[in-house]
Amino acid sequence: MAAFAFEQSLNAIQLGLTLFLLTAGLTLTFGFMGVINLAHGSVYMIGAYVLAAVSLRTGSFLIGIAAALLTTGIIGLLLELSLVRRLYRRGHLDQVLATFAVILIANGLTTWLFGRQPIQLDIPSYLSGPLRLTADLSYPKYRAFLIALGVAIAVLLHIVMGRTRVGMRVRAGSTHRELVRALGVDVRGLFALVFGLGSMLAGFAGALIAPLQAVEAGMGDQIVILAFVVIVIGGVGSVRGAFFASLMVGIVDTLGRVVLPFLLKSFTAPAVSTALSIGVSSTAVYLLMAAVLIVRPAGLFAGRA
Amino acid sequence: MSQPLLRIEGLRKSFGALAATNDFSLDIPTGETHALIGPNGAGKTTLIAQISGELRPDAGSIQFAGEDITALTIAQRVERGISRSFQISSILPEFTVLQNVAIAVQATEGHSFRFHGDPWRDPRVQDPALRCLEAVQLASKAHVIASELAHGEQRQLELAMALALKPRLVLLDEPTAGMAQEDARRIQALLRRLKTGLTMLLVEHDMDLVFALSDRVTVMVYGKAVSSGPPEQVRADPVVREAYLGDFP
Amino acid sequence: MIRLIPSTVGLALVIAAIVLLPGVATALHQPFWISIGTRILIVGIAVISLDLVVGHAGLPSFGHAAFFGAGGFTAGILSVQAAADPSSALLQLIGSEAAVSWPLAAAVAGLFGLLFGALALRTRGVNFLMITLAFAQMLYFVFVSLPTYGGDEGVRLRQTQHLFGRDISDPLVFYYVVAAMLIGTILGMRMLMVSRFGRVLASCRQNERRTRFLGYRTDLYLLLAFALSAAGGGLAGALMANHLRYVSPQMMSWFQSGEFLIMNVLGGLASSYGGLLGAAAFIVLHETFLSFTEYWEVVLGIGLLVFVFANPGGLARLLADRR
Repeated sequence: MAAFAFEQSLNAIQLGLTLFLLTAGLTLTFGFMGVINLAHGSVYMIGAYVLAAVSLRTGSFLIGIAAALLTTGIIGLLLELSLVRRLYRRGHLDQVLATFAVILIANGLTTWLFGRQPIQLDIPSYLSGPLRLTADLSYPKYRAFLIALGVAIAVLLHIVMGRTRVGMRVRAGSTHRELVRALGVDVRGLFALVFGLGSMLAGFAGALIAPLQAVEAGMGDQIVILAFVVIVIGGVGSVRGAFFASLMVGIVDTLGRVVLPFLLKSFTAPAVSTALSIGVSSTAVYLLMAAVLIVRPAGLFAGRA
Repeated sequence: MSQPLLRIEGLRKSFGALAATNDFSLDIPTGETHALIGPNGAGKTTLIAQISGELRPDAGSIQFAGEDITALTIAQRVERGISRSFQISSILPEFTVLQNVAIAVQATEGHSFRFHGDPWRDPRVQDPALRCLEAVQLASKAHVIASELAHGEQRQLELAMALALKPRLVLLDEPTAGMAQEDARRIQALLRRLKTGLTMLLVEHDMDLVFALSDRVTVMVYGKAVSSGPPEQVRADPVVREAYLGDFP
Repeated sequence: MIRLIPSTVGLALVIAAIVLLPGVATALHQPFWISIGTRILIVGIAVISLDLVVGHAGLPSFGHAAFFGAGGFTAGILSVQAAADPSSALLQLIGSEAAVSWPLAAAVAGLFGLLFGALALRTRGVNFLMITLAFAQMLYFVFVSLPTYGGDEGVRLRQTQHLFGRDISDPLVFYYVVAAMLIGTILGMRMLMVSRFGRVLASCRQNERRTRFLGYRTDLYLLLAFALSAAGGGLAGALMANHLRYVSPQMMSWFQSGEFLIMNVLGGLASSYGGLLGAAAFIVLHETFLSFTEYWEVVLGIGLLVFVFANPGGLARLLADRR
């Protein structure tokens, strides 16, 4: 029982950190650049596919990861330069439609290149298997690796955002875009940088997740909605908000999907537990979002990048 | 002495460490034209926002016609007769000039949860709207799309919309902001004709207008009222001169 | 704005086309046009309903598919219940009498609209869009996880539908029933647009802050618009369920919401029949391209990008619909 709780808690954190990788860039795009980018999930997907293609070809997981990072960073930059740049001044509706179009194109191209069959990747041997923590407790090595990476990147982002000039400009721009521009900061260069880095993080997340689930076209579409929920809860433009909201969402989702049904099964009649758990598990995260909205419509960390 | 139409007592509003409104009090009797002046950043627009209901004060009270309105919504205050114009013209750009005023007139009719008929063809809405436009001398532009108006004309439209609500108290936030001299004079003449029967709180930087129109003036510095009284008295007050750092005309 | 034809003439042309389509189809020996036509009309109702919120009120809603699906599932569930218990007169009534089940479907969807709207309208803009998307997803997951109603597979409707007791399962009859509902929707929208309620929505769209300072409780007006829009979407969903004899959770997917938005923009925002034109253009293009390539998505995506950046303002602008 304790082991189960332990494992699920770590899973929740791992999910939260993965979500954070995905949302850190996205919330900045929304807040700093004022652009709704639905295609963020597509970059996540591309990261996974590049890892799959390259690691299967070269046999090396690390080379695959590096390739994924490089590719998605470049794609992000190209996207910003060619498309996103033109969307800043346009209304939200145009942004939604344009980035929706990118999703369609990305999904279509991926299917064309890789076919409709989901790709199953293996966890590299040096990262597979359990990590023995104590006599009774162990945790999959790969997931532990993801947690470690997630924490490292969170710390890195915290340092960059808080202590570098670039970071401070981005933070200021997140909440006071016009002011930063008026101060003469090269906003466009910063935009490209933010978008490129955000995309790279998303691609990183996709690549890291790939061995844990099937790689298929459209895999980014579902998780990008979860990313939106995180951003709504955390507050648009706030990376700190994205961090805490990601963890909250990770915990609530895991609770809803795994822990709650388990508890219900142990304590109530099967008919009741199944119905309840079905109802609660998939909606838990949205109920959380609704609760936050009632109390703080702008998000928990709104206005504080 | 009968009660003032607007009574503000001990109003406070802070944004973080900045006290935009710092224990501000003011009485405005019915029928008075009251000007609120002060250096930029003194907190004048924040005050207007609190009176109109857009911002909730941290402390203090606002009473209108004897009723405590501090906790009321914007809609409730408009209903009681408080109307506002904006420093940066806030009109409905796709409507015509007449339609802009008409939607204001429509608001005085009670709720608009009515699903048939067309207020744009209803004389009960159109006639009062046209009269409002005539009062601000904009009737010749009635069918022009509002976004195509010149800046000065948009300010006139702002005024027309505020007046169409048949207010008891009008809050005018820099009605001549950004206007050329000639246009500003026209607004001034307009306001002079309209001020009878109306109570006005006027935020302004244009000193000619302030002295030509107001019955009393309050000077606001760092969220506080530092001087209040008839224009001549305020003009001569050394505290005020100092606040304006010698730029006071 | 190009004004080629006055609005009423455009509407007359559209109605004429709708009425004449089956005759033309039969004459040219293309009976499946009636089926596609029915689909276009149904989706037209959904998109025109969406337009009330997106085009007239100016709120970016990305969750319309939820209401479409809610209406469809209501009709589907009622039908399944009716089929399961043929002896119950009540179930038969609500399950297969369209005059009861369709308004019920619209009401259920409208109720969801009220619920979601009350929460979502605490925000605007980006947040509003994301919240409507998230709520729609929530509903999608709830319905997908109902094993009794097919889960991922969806629900099959076995009952023939009746309207006021008459059998309407004949394709031609059903087409005209749907056509009547669509025309009713368009006329209703036209009435709404110029009414006091519609003028307030237009005011909110242009400058909500100003509208509030005129004394309007904008949240209430927007909420009603949202609920009405949801009800319209739900009605369309019920119609689609009857047309296809099948309800699938895909009706609620966010892709479906995206498609509705595309059709809305394509046909023209804030117009009374633009939604129909957008639906027609989209569905016809879809069917045409599908026959050429499996990778319809890429073509659609590119086309959409071109459209967004060329931005002619929508098809209805060409037919000069009024605001």
